[in-house]
Amino acid sequence: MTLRRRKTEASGMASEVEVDHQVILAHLGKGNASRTSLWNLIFVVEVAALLGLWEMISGPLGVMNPKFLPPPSAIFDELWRMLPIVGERPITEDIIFSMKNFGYGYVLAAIVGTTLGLVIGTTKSGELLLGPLAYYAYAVPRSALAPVIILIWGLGAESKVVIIFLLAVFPVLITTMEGGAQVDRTLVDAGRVFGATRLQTMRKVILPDLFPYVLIGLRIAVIRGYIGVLIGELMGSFKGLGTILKRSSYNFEMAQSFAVVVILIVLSSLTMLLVSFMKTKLAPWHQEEDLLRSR
Amino acid sequence: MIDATSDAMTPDDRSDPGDNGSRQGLAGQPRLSVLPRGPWWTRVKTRHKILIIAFEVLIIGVIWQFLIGTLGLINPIFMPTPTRIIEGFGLLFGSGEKSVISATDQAIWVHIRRSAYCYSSGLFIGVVVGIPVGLLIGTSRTAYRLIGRFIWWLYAVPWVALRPPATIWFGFEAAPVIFIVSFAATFPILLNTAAGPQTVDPSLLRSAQVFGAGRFEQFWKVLLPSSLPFIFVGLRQAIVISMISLQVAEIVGSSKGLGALIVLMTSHFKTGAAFAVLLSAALITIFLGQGVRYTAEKLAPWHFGQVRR
Repeated sequence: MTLRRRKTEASGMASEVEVDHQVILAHLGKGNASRTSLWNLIFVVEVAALLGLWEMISGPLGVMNPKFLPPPSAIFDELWRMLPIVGERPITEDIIFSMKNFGYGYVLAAIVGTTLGLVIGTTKSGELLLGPLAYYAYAVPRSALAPVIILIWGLGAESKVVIIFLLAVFPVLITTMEGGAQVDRTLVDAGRVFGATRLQTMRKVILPDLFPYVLIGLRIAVIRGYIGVLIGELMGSFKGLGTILKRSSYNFEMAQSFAVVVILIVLSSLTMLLVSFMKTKLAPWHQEEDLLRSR
Repeated sequence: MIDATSDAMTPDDRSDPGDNGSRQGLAGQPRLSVLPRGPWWTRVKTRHKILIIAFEVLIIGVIWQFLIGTLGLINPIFMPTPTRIIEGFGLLFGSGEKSVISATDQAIWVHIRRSAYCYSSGLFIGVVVGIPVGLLIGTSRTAYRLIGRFIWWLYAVPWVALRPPATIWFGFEAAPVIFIVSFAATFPILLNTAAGPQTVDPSLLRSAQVFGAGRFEQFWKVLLPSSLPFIFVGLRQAIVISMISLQVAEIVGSSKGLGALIVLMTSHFKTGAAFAVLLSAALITIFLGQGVRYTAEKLAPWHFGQVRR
């Protein structure tokens, strides 16, 4: 996305990588279009070669035992088998279970995180009373709470939603808070000079300036949320992608667990894309400072 | 350097005149709110603010104790009271009859040693792999074109998902945990390091060339120092993420380590002790994060020295 240093750093608890492939590529590759297509071609060849090599070492050449590292063809077979209608062992129910939990936890995290973040990030009292607590709570490895949460809420969907919520809420909260610090003070002052009340300043100056940061937080929360899905289901569950992953690994069906990993990557990338799309749609005015611009 | 607007901003821009004590925010945290005015009690000095936080924690603790301990709103087995958490520390380190640990024949130090070993080796692997590869793909366009996208793909892999396969690959001892921790730690370090050389002011590079610096000297004297802040940012992220991944990796299928200790304590319904472990992990993370922050301020004062507001 960007290559900007966020204020989070100053707090000592930086949250997540804020760099994007496209940005680095844009600045590294000043070559013309034909070079770009050449590199794309090289990339395709590379992928093909890697897959071919993988297929060879765990297939015909027998370097790796396919029980431990299944060849890509086996993974594709397994994926095909998992397809909803045509497959013989569809996992639609598990996907729906995981995604539903993710949806509940994520939406809850988004609502709570944004609200609290706004309170802390834009008011002095909130900053003083809640800000430090938020930072220190952020440092607690909340994923380690999973056993306790499962003890409290049981093995069903509730405990998963709570875990996802706990993991996803803090990125949103912290980025929203930090967004408050990014608001241009001059704009606020200008608004006051023109006689805006506190509420008007909030609505017309601070919120539009802050909004993109909320969306950045939401993006980070997607990754955290998926990690939460997995933690909850690996700890103990009846259904879900994590359960399949665990069961298939411990049954030495590595092809199946790799297939689940592939599904997870696809799902999380799709969600990320959705949130990024939302960002370009809802906050088109926000040009994230391009720090590489000098090159 | 990276975020030009914030560095150009002097500390005074954001703080009220005469409010020098709180300019830097609490314990080095940035000042957050933009609205200039607040009630009178928001204008206290930094020293007093720390007191306020301590007071706040105390009050929360007392309310917590009151609601759960005295009124019994939640069963204290599920949500331990602060006194139970303090008792939990005694339970962990004590060797009396009540100690669960001695009942299972495993001293606390076994867990601590295992976690320290996994954490440090995972982080070490992350640094050893992340920084050189990051510098390579950050400085060389060809290298980035060749492996950049694969690294982004790997970064997209949710590392928790690799835990069950890691058991199959590496067995039940420390190795799978180290694998997960290093996997989680490498990519923040790597990608942040890779971003570093991109932000170098080209005029600096050109002037180095004018003064006859070779490729190596350009790298050593210009590119590397400018990437240093990014390396530290990556390191700081890696410290937090490694701790999370350590706990998760130990919770899911390991018999030793702090995460396993949490599971053990929870399954004995000693939630106080589980929360004590959790609290210690949080304190360690904060301590390490502040350590890196301090080192960063010493080694890259031109960058981190000014960020403080």
